[in-house]
Amino acid sequence: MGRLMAAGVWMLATAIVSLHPAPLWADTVDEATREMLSAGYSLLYADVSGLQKAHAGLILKQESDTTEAVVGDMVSYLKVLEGELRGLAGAGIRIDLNPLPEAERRTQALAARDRILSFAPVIGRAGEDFERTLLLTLAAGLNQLRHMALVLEGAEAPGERKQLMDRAATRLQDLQSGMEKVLNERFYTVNANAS
Amino acid sequence: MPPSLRLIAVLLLAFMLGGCSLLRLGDDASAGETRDFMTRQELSEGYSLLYSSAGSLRHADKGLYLKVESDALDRVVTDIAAYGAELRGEMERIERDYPAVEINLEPLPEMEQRRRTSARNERLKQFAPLIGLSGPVFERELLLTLSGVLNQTRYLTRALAEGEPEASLSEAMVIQERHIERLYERVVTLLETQHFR
Repeated sequence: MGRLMAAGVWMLATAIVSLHPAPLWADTVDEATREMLSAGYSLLYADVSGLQKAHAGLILKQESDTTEAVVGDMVSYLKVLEGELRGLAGAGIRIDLNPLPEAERRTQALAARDRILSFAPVIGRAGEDFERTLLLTLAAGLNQLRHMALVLEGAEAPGERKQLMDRAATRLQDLQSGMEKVLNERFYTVNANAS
Repeated sequence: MPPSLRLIAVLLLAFMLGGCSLLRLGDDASAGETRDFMTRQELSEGYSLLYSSAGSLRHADKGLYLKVESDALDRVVTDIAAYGAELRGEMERIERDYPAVEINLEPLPEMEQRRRTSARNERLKQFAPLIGLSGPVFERELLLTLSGVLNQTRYLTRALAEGEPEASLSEAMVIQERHIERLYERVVTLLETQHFR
Protein backbone atom coordinates (compact mmCIF):
# COMPACT_ATOMS: atom_id res chain seq x y z
CA MET A 1 0.00 0.00 0.00
CA GLY A 2 2.82 2.33 0.96
CA ARG A 3 4.58 1.61 -2.32
CA LEU A 4 1.39 2.27 -4.24
CA MET A 5 0.98 5.64 -2.54
CA ALA A 6 4.60 6.53 -3.15
CA ALA A 7 4.23 5.63 -6.83
CA GLY A 8 1.08 7.72 -7.02
CA VAL A 9 2.80 10.72 -5.44
CA TRP A 10 5.75 10.33 -7.81
CA MET A 11 3.49 10.13 -10.87
CA LEU A 12 1.55 13.17 -9.72
CA ALA A 13 4.74 15.14 -9.11
CA THR A 14 6.07 14.12 -12.52
CA ALA A 15 2.84 15.20 -14.18
CA ILE A 16 2.89 18.58 -12.44
CA VAL A 17 6.51 19.23 -13.32
CA SER A 18 5.88 18.28 -16.96
CA LEU A 19 3.27 21.00 -17.20
CA HIS A 20 5.78 23.74 -16.45
CA PRO A 21 8.57 24.92 -18.72
CA ALA A 22 10.94 25.36 -15.77
CA PRO A 23 11.24 22.94 -12.84
CA LEU A 24 9.95 24.33 -9.58
CA TRP A 25 13.30 23.92 -7.83
CA ALA A 26 15.04 26.10 -10.41
CA ASP A 27 13.37 29.16 -8.91
CA THR A 28 16.05 30.83 -6.84
CA VAL A 29 14.31 34.02 -5.74
CA ASP A 30 13.36 34.48 -2.09
CA GLU A 31 9.79 34.69 -0.86
CA ALA A 32 9.64 38.49 -0.63
CA THR A 33 10.97 38.84 -4.17
CA ARG A 34 8.54 36.20 -5.39
CA GLU A 35 5.62 38.18 -3.94
CA MET A 36 6.90 41.36 -5.56
CA LEU A 37 7.30 39.58 -8.89
CA SER A 38 3.83 38.04 -8.60
CA ALA A 39 2.37 41.53 -8.21
CA GLY A 40 4.25 42.64 -11.32
CA TYR A 41 3.26 39.62 -13.42
CA SER A 42 -0.34 40.03 -12.29
CA LEU A 43 -0.37 43.66 -13.42
CA LEU A 44 1.24 42.71 -16.72
CA TYR A 45 -1.22 39.88 -17.31
CA ALA A 46 -4.22 42.10 -16.53
CA ASP A 47 -2.98 44.79 -18.92
CA VAL A 48 -2.21 42.30 -21.71
CA SER A 49 -5.73 40.92 -21.39
CA GLY A 50 -7.17 44.43 -21.19
CA LEU A 51 -5.56 45.61 -24.42
CA GLN A 52 -6.84 42.54 -26.24
CA LYS A 53 -10.37 43.09 -24.98
CA ALA A 54 -10.10 46.73 -26.00
CA HIS A 55 -9.48 45.79 -29.58
CA ALA A 56 -12.14 43.06 -29.56
CA GLY A 57 -14.70 45.77 -28.84
CA LEU A 58 -13.52 47.87 -31.74
CA ILE A 59 -13.82 45.50 -34.66
CA LEU A 60 -17.04 47.12 -35.85
CA LYS A 61 -15.16 50.31 -36.64
CA GLN A 62 -13.53 50.72 -40.02
CA GLU A 63 -9.76 50.87 -39.85
CA SER A 64 -7.40 51.65 -42.70
CA ASP A 65 -5.11 48.89 -43.96
CA THR A 66 -2.05 50.35 -42.27
CA THR A 67 -3.79 50.71 -38.92
CA GLU A 68 -5.35 47.29 -39.23
CA ALA A 69 -1.93 45.78 -39.90
CA VAL A 70 -0.20 47.22 -36.82
CA VAL A 71 -3.18 46.55 -34.57
CA GLY A 72 -3.41 43.01 -35.93
CA ASP A 73 0.27 42.43 -35.14
CA MET A 74 -0.31 43.66 -31.62
CA VAL A 75 -3.30 41.44 -31.00
CA SER A 76 -1.48 38.37 -32.36
CA TYR A 77 1.51 38.93 -30.11
CA LEU A 78 -0.53 39.75 -27.02
CA LYS A 79 -2.31 36.41 -27.40
CA VAL A 80 1.06 34.69 -27.40
CA LEU A 81 2.28 36.68 -24.41
CA GLU A 82 -0.93 36.03 -22.51
CA GLY A 83 -0.41 32.30 -22.98
CA GLU A 84 3.21 32.54 -21.88
CA LEU A 85 2.21 34.41 -18.75
CA ARG A 86 -0.44 31.80 -17.98
CA GLY A 87 2.34 29.24 -18.22
CA LEU A 88 4.13 30.96 -15.35
CA ALA A 89 1.19 30.60 -13.01
CA GLY A 90 1.73 27.88 -10.49
CA ALA A 91 5.47 27.72 -10.93
CA GLY A 92 5.96 29.79 -7.80
CA ILE A 93 4.46 32.84 -9.48
CA ARG A 94 0.91 34.16 -9.38
CA ILE A 95 -0.75 36.21 -12.10
CA ASP A 96 -4.15 36.65 -10.46
CA LEU A 97 -3.33 39.25 -7.81
CA ASN A 98 -4.85 42.71 -7.81
CA PRO A 99 -2.23 44.74 -5.98
CA LEU A 100 -3.33 48.24 -6.98
CA PRO A 101 -5.02 50.43 -4.37
CA GLU A 102 -8.79 50.78 -4.65
CA ALA A 103 -8.64 54.42 -5.75
CA GLU A 104 -6.31 53.51 -8.61
CA ARG A 105 -8.54 50.61 -9.69
CA ARG A 106 -11.58 52.86 -9.78
CA THR A 107 -9.63 55.53 -11.64
CA GLN A 108 -8.63 53.06 -14.33
CA ALA A 109 -12.14 51.63 -14.58
CA LEU A 110 -13.60 55.13 -15.09
CA ALA A 111 -10.99 55.97 -17.72
CA ALA A 112 -11.58 52.67 -19.52
CA ARG A 113 -15.35 53.15 -19.55
CA ASP A 114 -15.07 56.62 -21.08
CA ARG A 115 -12.54 55.40 -23.62
CA ILE A 116 -14.86 52.60 -24.68
CA LEU A 117 -17.70 55.10 -25.12
CA SER A 118 -15.47 57.36 -27.19
CA PHE A 119 -14.76 54.43 -29.51
CA ALA A 120 -18.31 53.11 -29.56
CA PRO A 121 -19.86 52.34 -32.94
CA VAL A 122 -22.19 55.06 -34.25
CA ILE A 123 -21.96 57.45 -31.27
CA GLY A 124 -18.20 57.51 -30.80
CA ARG A 125 -15.28 58.85 -32.78
CA ALA A 126 -15.11 58.06 -36.46
CA GLY A 127 -12.72 58.06 -39.39
CA GLU A 128 -9.30 59.62 -38.97
CA ASP A 129 -10.10 60.82 -35.46
CA PHE A 130 -10.99 57.30 -34.42
CA GLU A 131 -7.84 55.81 -35.91
CA ARG A 132 -5.52 58.41 -34.45
CA THR A 133 -7.04 58.07 -30.99
CA LEU A 134 -6.95 54.29 -31.24
CA LEU A 135 -3.27 54.28 -32.21
CA LEU A 136 -2.35 56.80 -29.51
CA THR A 137 -4.17 54.76 -26.89
CA LEU A 138 -2.68 51.44 -27.96
CA ALA A 139 0.84 52.87 -28.30
CA ALA A 140 0.59 54.26 -24.75
CA GLY A 141 -0.68 50.89 -23.58
CA LEU A 142 2.20 49.05 -25.24
CA ASN A 143 4.60 51.49 -23.62
CA GLN A 144 3.26 50.59 -20.20
CA LEU A 145 3.48 46.87 -20.93
CA ARG A 146 7.04 47.28 -22.16
CA HIS A 147 8.18 49.10 -19.05
CA MET A 148 6.61 46.48 -16.81
CA ALA A 149 8.41 43.77 -18.82
CA LEU A 150 11.65 45.73 -18.43
CA VAL A 151 11.38 46.08 -14.66
CA LEU A 152 10.36 42.43 -14.30
CA GLU A 153 13.36 41.41 -16.37
CA GLY A 154 15.55 43.56 -14.14
CA ALA A 155 14.14 42.04 -10.97
CA GLU A 156 14.34 38.41 -12.10
CA ALA A 157 17.11 35.95 -11.36
CA PRO A 158 18.74 34.43 -14.44
CA GLY A 159 16.43 31.86 -15.99
CA GLU A 160 13.48 31.34 -18.28
CA ARG A 161 11.30 34.04 -16.80
CA LYS A 162 14.02 36.63 -17.20
CA GLN A 163 14.50 35.57 -20.83
CA LEU A 164 10.78 35.69 -21.42
CA MET A 165 10.56 39.27 -20.13
CA ASP A 166 13.59 40.28 -22.18
CA ARG A 167 11.97 38.93 -25.36
CA ALA A 168 8.64 40.53 -24.45
CA ALA A 169 10.21 43.97 -23.93
CA THR A 170 11.90 43.76 -27.33
CA ARG A 171 8.75 42.64 -29.13
CA LEU A 172 6.59 45.26 -27.39
CA GLN A 173 9.10 47.93 -28.43
CA ASP A 174 8.79 46.80 -32.06
CA LEU A 175 5.02 46.94 -31.93
CA GLN A 176 5.02 50.36 -30.29
CA SER A 177 7.45 51.67 -32.89
CA GLY A 178 5.19 50.35 -35.65
CA MET A 179 2.24 52.30 -34.30
CA GLU A 180 4.30 55.45 -33.82
CA LYS A 181 5.48 55.16 -37.41
CA VAL A 182 1.89 55.17 -38.68
CA LEU A 183 1.05 58.07 -36.37
CA ASN A 184 3.99 60.08 -37.67
CA GLU A 185 3.34 59.35 -41.31
CA ARG A 186 -0.42 59.75 -41.39
CA PHE A 187 -1.65 61.72 -38.40
CA TYR A 188 1.00 64.21 -37.24
CA THR A 189 1.79 67.49 -38.96
CA VAL A 190 5.50 66.92 -38.35
CA ASN A 191 7.02 63.49 -38.88
CA ALA A 192 9.59 62.85 -36.17
CA ASN A 193 11.22 60.19 -38.33
CA ALA A 194 11.66 62.37 -41.43
CA SER A 195 15.25 63.16 -42.21
CA MET B 1 20.31 79.03 -17.84
CA PRO B 2 23.30 77.39 -16.10
CA PRO B 3 23.77 73.68 -16.88
CA SER B 4 23.04 72.67 -13.27
CA LEU B 5 19.72 74.48 -13.34
CA ARG B 6 18.92 72.91 -16.68
CA LEU B 7 19.53 69.51 -15.21
CA ILE B 8 17.25 70.28 -12.27
CA ALA B 9 14.60 71.56 -14.64
CA VAL B 10 14.72 68.39 -16.68
CA LEU B 11 14.63 66.23 -13.57
CA LEU B 12 11.61 68.09 -12.26
CA LEU B 13 9.88 67.74 -15.58
CA ALA B 14 10.47 64.03 -15.43
CA PHE B 15 8.29 63.72 -12.34
CA MET B 16 5.18 64.24 -14.37
CA LEU B 17 5.89 61.56 -16.88
CA GLY B 18 4.58 58.40 -15.31
CA GLY B 19 1.34 56.86 -14.28
CA CYS B 20 -0.89 57.28 -17.26
CA SER B 21 -3.76 54.86 -17.29
CA LEU B 22 -3.94 51.89 -19.55
CA LEU B 23 -7.07 50.32 -20.93
CA ARG B 24 -7.58 48.21 -17.83
CA LEU B 25 -10.63 46.41 -19.10
CA GLY B 26 -9.78 43.35 -17.09
CA ASP B 27 -11.20 45.15 -14.08
CA ASP B 28 -14.85 45.90 -13.63
CA ALA B 29 -15.33 48.73 -16.09
CA SER B 30 -18.67 49.63 -14.55
CA ALA B 31 -17.22 50.18 -11.08
CA GLY B 32 -17.41 53.93 -11.44
CA GLU B 33 -21.16 53.77 -11.91
CA THR B 34 -21.77 52.59 -8.39
CA ARG B 35 -21.93 54.86 -5.41
CA ASP B 36 -20.06 52.46 -3.17
CA PHE B 37 -18.07 54.50 -0.75
CA MET B 38 -14.43 53.76 -0.15
CA THR B 39 -12.98 53.20 3.32
CA ARG B 40 -11.06 56.05 4.91
CA GLN B 41 -7.80 54.18 4.33
CA GLU B 42 -8.62 53.66 0.63
CA LEU B 43 -9.54 57.31 0.30
CA SER B 44 -6.31 58.41 1.98
CA GLU B 45 -4.40 56.28 -0.52
CA GLY B 46 -6.26 58.04 -3.31
CA TYR B 47 -5.66 61.48 -1.83
CA SER B 48 -1.98 60.60 -1.55
CA LEU B 49 -1.89 59.69 -5.26
CA LEU B 50 -3.60 62.98 -6.06
CA TYR B 51 -1.17 64.94 -3.89
CA SER B 52 1.71 63.25 -5.70
CA SER B 53 0.21 64.11 -9.11
CA ALA B 54 -0.22 67.72 -8.03
CA GLY B 55 3.45 67.81 -7.06
CA SER B 56 4.35 66.62 -10.55
CA LEU B 57 2.06 69.05 -12.36
CA ARG B 58 3.42 72.06 -10.53
CA HIS B 59 6.79 71.44 -12.17
CA ALA B 60 5.31 71.10 -15.65
CA ASP B 61 6.74 74.43 -16.79
CA LYS B 62 10.33 73.80 -15.72
CA GLY B 63 11.29 72.12 -18.97
CA LEU B 64 10.01 75.05 -21.01
CA TYR B 65 13.06 77.14 -20.25
CA LEU B 66 14.99 74.69 -22.32
CA LYS B 67 13.26 74.63 -25.68
CA VAL B 68 9.81 76.16 -25.84
CA GLU B 69 8.99 77.82 -29.14
CA SER B 70 5.25 78.44 -29.04
CA ASP B 71 3.46 81.07 -26.95
CA ALA B 72 0.33 78.94 -26.86
CA LEU B 73 2.25 76.04 -25.39
CA ASP B 74 3.97 78.33 -22.93
CA ARG B 75 0.64 79.67 -21.68
CA VAL B 76 -1.05 76.33 -21.17
CA VAL B 77 1.94 74.69 -19.52
CA THR B 78 2.43 77.69 -17.21
CA ASP B 79 -1.25 77.45 -16.23
CA ILE B 80 -0.93 73.72 -15.59
CA ALA B 81 2.05 74.35 -13.32
CA ALA B 82 0.15 77.07 -11.44
CA TYR B 83 -2.79 74.73 -11.03
CA GLY B 84 -0.52 71.95 -9.76
CA ALA B 85 0.73 74.27 -7.01
CA GLU B 86 -2.84 75.30 -6.20
CA LEU B 87 -4.02 71.68 -6.02
CA ARG B 88 -1.12 70.77 -3.78
CA GLY B 89 -2.07 73.61 -1.42
CA GLU B 90 -5.69 72.50 -1.47
CA MET B 91 -4.71 68.94 -0.55
CA GLU B 92 -2.59 70.24 2.34
CA ARG B 93 -5.54 72.33 3.52
CA ILE B 94 -7.77 69.24 3.40
CA GLU B 95 -5.27 67.28 5.46
CA ARG B 96 -5.19 70.08 8.06
CA ASP B 97 -8.98 70.46 8.22
CA TYR B 98 -9.79 66.74 8.20
CA PRO B 99 -7.54 64.85 10.62
CA ALA B 100 -8.69 61.48 9.24
CA VAL B 101 -7.31 62.31 5.80
CA GLU B 102 -3.70 61.40 4.96
CA ILE B 103 -1.91 62.58 1.83
CA ASN B 104 1.59 61.18 2.23
CA LEU B 105 0.99 57.44 1.82
CA GLU B 106 2.73 55.37 -0.87
CA PRO B 107 0.04 52.91 -1.88
CA LEU B 108 1.40 51.64 -5.17
CA PRO B 109 3.08 48.21 -5.19
CA GLU B 110 6.82 48.12 -5.68
CA MET B 111 6.74 46.86 -9.27
CA GLU B 112 4.27 49.52 -10.33
CA GLN B 113 6.50 52.18 -8.79
CA ARG B 114 9.47 50.76 -10.67
CA ARG B 115 7.48 50.68 -13.92
CA ARG B 116 6.58 54.35 -13.60
CA THR B 117 10.16 55.26 -12.77
CA SER B 118 11.38 53.33 -15.81
CA ALA B 119 8.93 55.18 -18.08
CA ARG B 120 9.91 58.55 -16.55
CA ASN B 121 13.60 57.93 -17.05
CA GLU B 122 13.10 57.01 -20.67
CA ARG B 123 11.06 60.15 -21.32
CA LEU B 124 13.70 62.16 -19.49
CA LYS B 125 16.18 61.14 -22.16
CA GLN B 126 13.75 62.16 -24.90
CA PHE B 127 13.39 65.62 -23.39
CA ALA B 128 17.04 66.12 -22.51
CA PRO B 129 18.75 69.30 -23.71
CA LEU B 130 20.87 69.06 -26.86
CA ILE B 131 20.47 65.33 -27.41
CA GLY B 132 16.70 65.09 -26.88
CA LEU B 133 13.71 66.13 -28.96
CA SER B 134 13.32 69.72 -30.06
CA GLY B 135 10.95 72.02 -31.90
CA PRO B 136 7.44 70.89 -32.86
CA VAL B 137 8.15 67.24 -32.07
CA PHE B 138 9.26 68.16 -28.54
CA GLU B 139 6.14 70.28 -28.08
CA ARG B 140 3.86 67.53 -29.39
CA GLU B 141 5.39 64.90 -27.12
CA LEU B 142 5.18 67.25 -24.14
CA LEU B 143 1.50 67.92 -24.86
CA LEU B 144 0.76 64.23 -25.30
CA THR B 145 2.47 63.52 -22.00
CA LEU B 146 0.57 66.27 -20.22
CA SER B 147 -2.72 65.13 -21.69
CA GLY B 148 -2.07 61.66 -20.26
CA VAL B 149 -1.22 62.99 -16.80
CA LEU B 150 -4.21 65.35 -16.72
CA ASN B 151 -6.52 62.62 -17.98
CA GLN B 152 -5.38 60.23 -15.28
CA THR B 153 -5.65 62.91 -12.60
CA ARG B 154 -9.17 63.97 -13.55
CA TYR B 155 -10.39 60.37 -13.34
CA LEU B 156 -8.72 60.05 -9.96
CA THR B 157 -10.61 63.10 -8.67
CA ARG B 158 -13.84 61.64 -10.04
CA ALA B 159 -13.18 58.29 -8.36
CA LEU B 160 -12.51 60.10 -5.08
CA ALA B 161 -15.62 62.27 -5.44
CA GLU B 162 -17.74 59.16 -6.00
CA GLY B 163 -16.11 57.15 -3.23
CA GLU B 164 -16.07 59.89 -0.58
CA PRO B 165 -18.96 59.76 1.92
CA GLU B 166 -18.13 63.18 3.41
CA ALA B 167 -20.11 65.62 1.26
CA SER B 168 -17.75 68.59 1.58
CA LEU B 169 -14.75 66.49 0.54
CA SER B 170 -16.67 64.95 -2.32
CA GLU B 171 -17.62 68.42 -3.53
CA ALA B 172 -13.98 69.53 -3.24
CA MET B 173 -13.00 66.71 -5.59
CA VAL B 174 -15.76 67.62 -8.06
CA ILE B 175 -14.39 71.18 -8.17
CA GLN B 176 -10.88 69.91 -8.86
CA GLU B 177 -12.15 67.62 -11.60
CA ARG B 178 -13.69 70.64 -13.35
CA HIS B 179 -10.40 72.56 -13.13
CA ILE B 180 -8.48 69.64 -14.57
CA GLU B 181 -11.08 69.05 -17.27
CA ARG B 182 -10.61 72.62 -18.53
CA LEU B 183 -6.83 72.27 -18.67
CA TYR B 184 -7.13 68.91 -20.38
CA GLU B 185 -9.40 70.38 -23.05
CA ARG B 186 -6.90 73.18 -23.70
CA VAL B 187 -4.10 70.66 -24.19
CA VAL B 188 -6.20 68.54 -26.53
CA THR B 189 -7.24 71.61 -28.52
CA LEU B 190 -3.59 72.58 -28.99
CA LEU B 191 -2.76 69.09 -30.17
CA GLU B 192 -5.66 69.02 -32.59
CA THR B 193 -5.05 72.47 -34.05
CA GLN B 194 -1.28 72.48 -34.24
CA HIS B 195 0.04 68.95 -34.19
CA PHE B 196 -2.59 66.65 -35.70
CA ARG B 197 -3.60 66.64 -39.34
